[in-house]
Amino acid sequence: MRIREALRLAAEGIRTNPLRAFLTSLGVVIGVAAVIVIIAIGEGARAQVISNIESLGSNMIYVTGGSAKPVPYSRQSSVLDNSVLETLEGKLQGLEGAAAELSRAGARVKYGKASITANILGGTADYMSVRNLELTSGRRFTDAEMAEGARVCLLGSDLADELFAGEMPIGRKVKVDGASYRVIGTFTGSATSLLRAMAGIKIYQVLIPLATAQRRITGTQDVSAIYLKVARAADMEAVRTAAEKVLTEKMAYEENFGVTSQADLLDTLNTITRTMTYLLAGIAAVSLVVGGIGIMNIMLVSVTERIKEIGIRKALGATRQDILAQFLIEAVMISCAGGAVGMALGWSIAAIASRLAGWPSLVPWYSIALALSFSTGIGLFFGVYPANKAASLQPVDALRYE
Amino acid sequence: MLISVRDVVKEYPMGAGSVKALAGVSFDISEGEFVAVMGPSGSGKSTLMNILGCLDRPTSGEYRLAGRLVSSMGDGELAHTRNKDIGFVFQAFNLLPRLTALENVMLPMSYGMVPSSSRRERAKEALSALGLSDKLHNKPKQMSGGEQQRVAIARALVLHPKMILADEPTGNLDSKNSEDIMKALARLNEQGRTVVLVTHEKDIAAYANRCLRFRDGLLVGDAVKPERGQCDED
Repeated sequence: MRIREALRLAAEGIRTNPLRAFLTSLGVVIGVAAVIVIIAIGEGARAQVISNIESLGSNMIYVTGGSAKPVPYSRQSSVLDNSVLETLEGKLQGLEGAAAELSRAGARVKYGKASITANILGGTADYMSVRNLELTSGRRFTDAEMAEGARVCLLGSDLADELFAGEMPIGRKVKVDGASYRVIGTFTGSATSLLRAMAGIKIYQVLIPLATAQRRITGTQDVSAIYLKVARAADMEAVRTAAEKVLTEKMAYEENFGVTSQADLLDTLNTITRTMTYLLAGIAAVSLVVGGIGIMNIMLVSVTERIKEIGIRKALGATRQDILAQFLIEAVMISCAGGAVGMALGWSIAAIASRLAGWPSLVPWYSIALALSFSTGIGLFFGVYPANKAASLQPVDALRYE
Repeated sequence: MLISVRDVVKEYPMGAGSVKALAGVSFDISEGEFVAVMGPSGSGKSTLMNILGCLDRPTSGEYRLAGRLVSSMGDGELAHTRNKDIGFVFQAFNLLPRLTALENVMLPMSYGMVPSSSRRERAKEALSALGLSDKLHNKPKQMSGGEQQRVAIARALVLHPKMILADEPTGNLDSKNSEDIMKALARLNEQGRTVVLVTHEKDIAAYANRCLRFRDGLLVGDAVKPERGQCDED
């Protein structure tokens, strides 16, 4: 018997009881939709987080003190200080810029009656350009202000908006942790921590000269992080290796510092989100298996209902394979139809969910391939037993069955 | 010789032992014969019918159909033989209820090597020959018993089998329709087709030109051109 014929036969079997076929395929519909939605949301979230991280600036190498993990807001006394920055700047080739930062979270910024919690960032001269911060109004710090540790500050533009509520901030005095600073400008850009960037959390920030921060916060020459901006992406690994070598020579213990690139973070992140996505998709796949059991159940009922028909077909010359193909294709058809509907459903849900969450909707090709091959596979796997049962019926017994 | 049956035994397991439905049967049927197989229920005639129709295999003994040893064929070969060499007419018609008359007649061709382009035409011809040209697209439920049985005969004929195997073909029909069906079978026989008819009604058996009588799994009578009375139940 030809394939076309077998397909027609199977379609006929489904048409006999469309409601039953629909209910049977519902398990696969839900399973496939769940797999696609979860993968789409996982991929979408990952893309969002990656774009957050990338917005921090590409070609960036982070040197942190005390730990290999990026914790630039740590207030513990750091092994990094001004001299480390100078050494790195002196010895490394291929840098576009380098900057050091001393930061402190949870500072109170006050203007009049308004009071807002913000992070203080103390930065060196190139800090703004290295960290891709854009000046939106006013001016940058002068060399004199940098050198003497003047009490001047730049406000993150969202902080300025909150604090001044429409007033012009430039030239006004704000209090940061009780000390008075003159506002000389505002800026935008994500000079937030890496971890916060991953989570997409925005925080208020106040930028002051590094010398000022060192005097007000630690009273030492310590810095909490050093940012190295590499001129060409191709040099990233070379610069990074060189930086590690310089730091190892300068410091006693290797564990005292960490050198991390954006690529490392992206790698780690990719691993984490992929694992999460696969785990969730795996759970969703369980519902596919449940759907498959539903198909097997109905196919068994269908075989029992059609024993007489099987007997007649066998008497007319249907072989084992003909009957096997008829029932197997019917099972695969139900499953695949469920897979197709589930795919459309999953796609729509993913599109709606991503619109609500505000991240790009990503239905990668592999999730569609996965869902389709899964539903075909499930139809085959759970269809074999009933189909084989039908095919193995002896024509005499089947014909006699009432 | 079209059919050659030698020492055929069919046992069914029953409880600890077994029961012999056929206890060693031998006979031949030539091409073109019209044979009635008679016997009361339990005589083994249905079992014989299943074996002749390649629906079942004998426990022992040999069955040859057109020279080929059927009793040792595998499932696939049996299916092929049923498709090509045997046309079945059943008491309960056994049409597929969801298919039209035409589709039912086309069914054996879908399992044979008939090109799909010619199937419809051949099925139409077979149905017309039985006077059903106006019922092509009727489903079995929309037809009388006599019409359904004629569809079944068209289905049995459509692949030009070596023999027609009719198992109580008039069992579910009134006498008028029974006569029509038997006339149709007799006409086929006149055209040279071998017909084997299983029945327990002597009026029906009278259409045949040879009568095999069975009792308790044994062949107890074989009358060629039976006179009235020779093919009666005893």
